[in-house]
Amino acid sequence: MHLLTYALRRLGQALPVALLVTVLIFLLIKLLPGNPAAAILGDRASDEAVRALNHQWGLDLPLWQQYGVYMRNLVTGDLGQSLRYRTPVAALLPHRMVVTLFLVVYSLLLSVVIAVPLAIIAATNRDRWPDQAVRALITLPLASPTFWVGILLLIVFALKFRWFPAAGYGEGFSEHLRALFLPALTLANPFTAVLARNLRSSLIDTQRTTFVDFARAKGLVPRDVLFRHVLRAALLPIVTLIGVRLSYAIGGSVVIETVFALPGLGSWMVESILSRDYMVVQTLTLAFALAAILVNLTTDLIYPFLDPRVRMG
Amino acid sequence: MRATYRVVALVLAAGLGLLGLGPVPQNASAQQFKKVINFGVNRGAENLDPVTMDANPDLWAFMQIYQQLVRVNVKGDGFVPDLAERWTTSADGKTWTFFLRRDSRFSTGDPVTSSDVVWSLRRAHDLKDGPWQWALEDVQDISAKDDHTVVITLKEPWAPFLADISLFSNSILSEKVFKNAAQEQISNKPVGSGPWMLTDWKKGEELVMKANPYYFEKGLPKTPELHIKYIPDDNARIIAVQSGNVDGIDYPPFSRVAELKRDPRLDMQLNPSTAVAHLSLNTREAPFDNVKFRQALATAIDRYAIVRAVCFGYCTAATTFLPMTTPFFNKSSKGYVYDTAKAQQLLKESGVKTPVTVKVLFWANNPVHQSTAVVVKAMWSKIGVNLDLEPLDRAAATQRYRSNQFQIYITGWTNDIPDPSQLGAYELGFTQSQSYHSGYHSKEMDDLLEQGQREMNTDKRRDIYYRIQDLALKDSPLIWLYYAPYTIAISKKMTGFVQMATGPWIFKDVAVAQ
Repeated sequence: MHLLTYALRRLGQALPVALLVTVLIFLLIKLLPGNPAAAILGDRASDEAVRALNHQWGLDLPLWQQYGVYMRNLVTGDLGQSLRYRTPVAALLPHRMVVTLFLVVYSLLLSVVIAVPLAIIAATNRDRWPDQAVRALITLPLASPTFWVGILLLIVFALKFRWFPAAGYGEGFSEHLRALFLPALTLANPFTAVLARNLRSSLIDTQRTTFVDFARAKGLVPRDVLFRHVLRAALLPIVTLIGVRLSYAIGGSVVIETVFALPGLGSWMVESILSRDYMVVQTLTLAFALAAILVNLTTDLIYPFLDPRVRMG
Repeated sequence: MRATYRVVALVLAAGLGLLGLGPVPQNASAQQFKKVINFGVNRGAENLDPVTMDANPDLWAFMQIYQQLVRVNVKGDGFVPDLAERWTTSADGKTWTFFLRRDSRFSTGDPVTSSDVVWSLRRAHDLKDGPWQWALEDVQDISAKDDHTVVITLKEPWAPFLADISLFSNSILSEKVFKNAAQEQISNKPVGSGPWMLTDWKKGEELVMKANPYYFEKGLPKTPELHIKYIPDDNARIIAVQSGNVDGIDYPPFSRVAELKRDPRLDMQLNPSTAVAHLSLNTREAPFDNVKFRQALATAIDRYAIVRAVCFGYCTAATTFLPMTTPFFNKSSKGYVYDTAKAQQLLKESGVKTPVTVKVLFWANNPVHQSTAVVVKAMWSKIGVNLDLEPLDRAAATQRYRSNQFQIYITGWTNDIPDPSQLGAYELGFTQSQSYHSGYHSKEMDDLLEQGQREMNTDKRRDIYYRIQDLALKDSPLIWLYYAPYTIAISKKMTGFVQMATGPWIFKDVAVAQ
């Protein structure tokens, strides 16, 4: 019950933030120079045609009226039309959303899969050569730009070895796994480094705590001490990190999806901004903002389950 | 507490499993030719209605689906029959009769009849403010004489009529399917009689087409399916064709052409096009209202250096406003010859005081425009003209340009018909676009353009277009820079691929070996 009121209160705080986001986005995109009708009709279209299309789309109404229409539609579940594709945004959204979610979750899993063993190796061999090696190794991805890493992975694994496709999303789950492996790895890259470093120091700190001393004194073998006590406690700060990272990953998908020609939300956002596809940009920004709010909320709610010492204030 | 250990082990195993997925084994029972042609493009289609769209990706896609009465030949200098197997012109040049072939069918199985043609052409003619209305501007009436004969009468003799009727906007749609259809349906679900039919369109991702079983050329298309995939990033598109993910790609950048030519798996094509790159000058305002100043700028440009720097040598310096492949292109025209001393002399005569600063507007994310601006800046600095670069994102730049708020704009042109009339009217005539937004307005030019459209005698017409080319150079409302080829990279396993000089690809004869 306590948890529920807490969750509801956090949700209540999130709503005004979401509303503010819609206003900001609406104003920002209208402030940008450039008009969707002109962008879509092209250089050769007549001024009359541009005016007619603007009228048809209601873009000649005063700004507050346009916002009113947008909010009214939003409340009734109408996300508007993609001006560029002449298709309801709601019809295009689910497919795109699945691609991005798949990518983000996949990249997170890869990060964990790679970072956890590395951190354990480093922490258990503190200041000896395996630790030095891991620390050196994970500095590399931190220093490499995502865009470049993506192209590099493409050249090596898609072009040289041909293990993975160079572009696209594929059909069916196993093909998605294959098609999204390189993009997910690229997206995972910087986070893996951050995760490994943080987990390493967290493991080292935890090893020094009294409850670990106690576990050792109980006579537990080192492996059991590590996995039963140290790792569990050390994972706690990592949860926050993952939460923060999820929001970043959604943003990072913009670059990745463009490099790997993935039909997700990120690449769609870029195209829509460039062609001033207003409704799409508004919907996607709102979706990104809601996702970020949701992730934060979830992180807060997960915490007490992992560590009974955390109580809700 | 064992759980944690197991989770770690599981995650590790899953990770290794994923890594081990590796290559998918080749299908042992594979046939000789692929069932699907995969083609990667740099821009996705948005609107497949021939009448209301205005972008190459749209028309190149629906040209696979629709037929016209007549079609431009591959070289782009003549016409071949399409839906009409033959046609006649009355002695006064005002009545055109088209005889339809009797074996054409839409992908629905319905035969293509005169009423489909009349309905489609009337729609193209009647739509207000469409980008392609000029093509049927002089049409008085379109009517069906019988099921397979269409008569089109003109208000007056019109030299480029056959070219205009071949334009993609005059594609023949199924009247039965579209008569009461909403615009959305025409834009999203094309139904035509061409070699391919659209079966799925994942917007911003790919167009899936299947062979039209009712297409009149028996045995074509050779491959059952065509997938046009949107891969916007140049690097990714090139890797996709090099790795065999797709069988061909459009627009590899000039900077990569040499490397792709060396790739033994690929056929790197530089196809003749009608692309002309130019600078539009806003002649409404000083100092661009001064013709000597414009001439000085045109003379101070070393087009060969631009071809080297921007196109890596794969383009040709422009000598007139017309593309080289267009009929009546004046081969003997020298254009502007690079001469700094002469440019300085012209600048002096213009009375414009140097140093003078002017601004060039261009698309920020376009590497070709970017390098053009940089090279021109260096050239003009030698005559005391300082060029400020003003890169803007595409939508913002287009709006500024459309509302005439620019001094110089980097842009270009491709012909849609094998005739100089379209380009002439658009680029140098005031009525259609204020001479490509330059604001150039010359009575002499407008008269010549008018004559060029009316004159039915080929020799006299040629003479008129030669005069137009000379006058355009003299007045220089635009500075023509170079003619660019289309770049296409296809797998050597692909045969039968053709790209027309007007741009569209032809896939019906394409086969891809396994």
